[in-house]
Amino acid sequence: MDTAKKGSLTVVGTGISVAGQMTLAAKSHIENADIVFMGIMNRVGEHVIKKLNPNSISLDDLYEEGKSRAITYRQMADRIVQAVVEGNKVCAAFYGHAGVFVTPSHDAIRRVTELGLEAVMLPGVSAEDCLIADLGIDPSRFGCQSYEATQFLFRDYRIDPYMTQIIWQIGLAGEASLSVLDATHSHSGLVMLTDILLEHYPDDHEVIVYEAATLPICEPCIQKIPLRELPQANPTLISTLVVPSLGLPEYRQDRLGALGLTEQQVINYRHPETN
Amino acid sequence: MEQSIVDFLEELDTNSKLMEAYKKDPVGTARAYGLVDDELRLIEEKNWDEVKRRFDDASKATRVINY
Repeated sequence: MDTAKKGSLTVVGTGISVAGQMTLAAKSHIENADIVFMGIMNRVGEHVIKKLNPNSISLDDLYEEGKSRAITYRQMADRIVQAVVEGNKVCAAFYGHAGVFVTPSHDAIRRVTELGLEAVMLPGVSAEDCLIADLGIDPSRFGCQSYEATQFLFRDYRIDPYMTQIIWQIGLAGEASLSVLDATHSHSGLVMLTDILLEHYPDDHEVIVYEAATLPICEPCIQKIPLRELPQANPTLISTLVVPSLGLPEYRQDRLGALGLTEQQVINYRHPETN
Repeated sequence: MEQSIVDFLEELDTNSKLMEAYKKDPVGTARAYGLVDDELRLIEEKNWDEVKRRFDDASKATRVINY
């Protein structure tokens, strides 16, 4: 019989705020782990985790100005996987949702699973969840396109202006080196992003530069500006751009007809006063 | 008894009654909680930039690499 202790990995998100958005399940996994690795950009959040489990270690020492994030994230995953291989019950705690905009969490889970060991991720409260609550935007209202700014600029994507656009990491728009730790390199990327958006929206279309609140005494940062002024915005590394929809597109009469429906029928079904 | 602003921020984020009291009277609630003078001054002066400087480090914000 194999009596050797087998390691395992649970990846949890701690929410965007310092403590209140951590799920009960995430809290329990942190408390019961042999070791916790923290990817939290907030000292209060780290303090909360250390109180739950004193054997908690920050991954922040791996960040360095001029060092590619690709290397940093690989090293984070290395640390996590190594602790699992050594037979520990490991919890990796990242702020927000551990699976949203977090590279090392997915990498660690994939590698641990490939080793035949147990690895799971729990859902958490992401920045998108905070955005929806703070701005009162329901992504189902117009549909939603959600993407990262640099990826969008570099690749041949398409905007549907009838959908809400949520564009992440505009403070690093067009920054390819992955080696900067501030948002001073985004101007040319923002100019390009604005030009692309202006192909689809009027220049006075109101857009929102948003930052979720990370501390309970601070409000979320919500800056509403006309699209033409976006290049003059000063986004931070955690700024997100929201471009509201132009409205619902017209009904597709051909599809309605093929389904044996008319426009008036579906309007009546849905409730005529619902806009 | 003196309390740290770190504990105050954690408590505010998880205790709706304390948050309700804070919204009505930020400085009085922070004082009653036991913040030391230096930290109480941050609340009095609404010096959120300094609070963020002390506790937030956006340079550690995770960045996706999918391009």
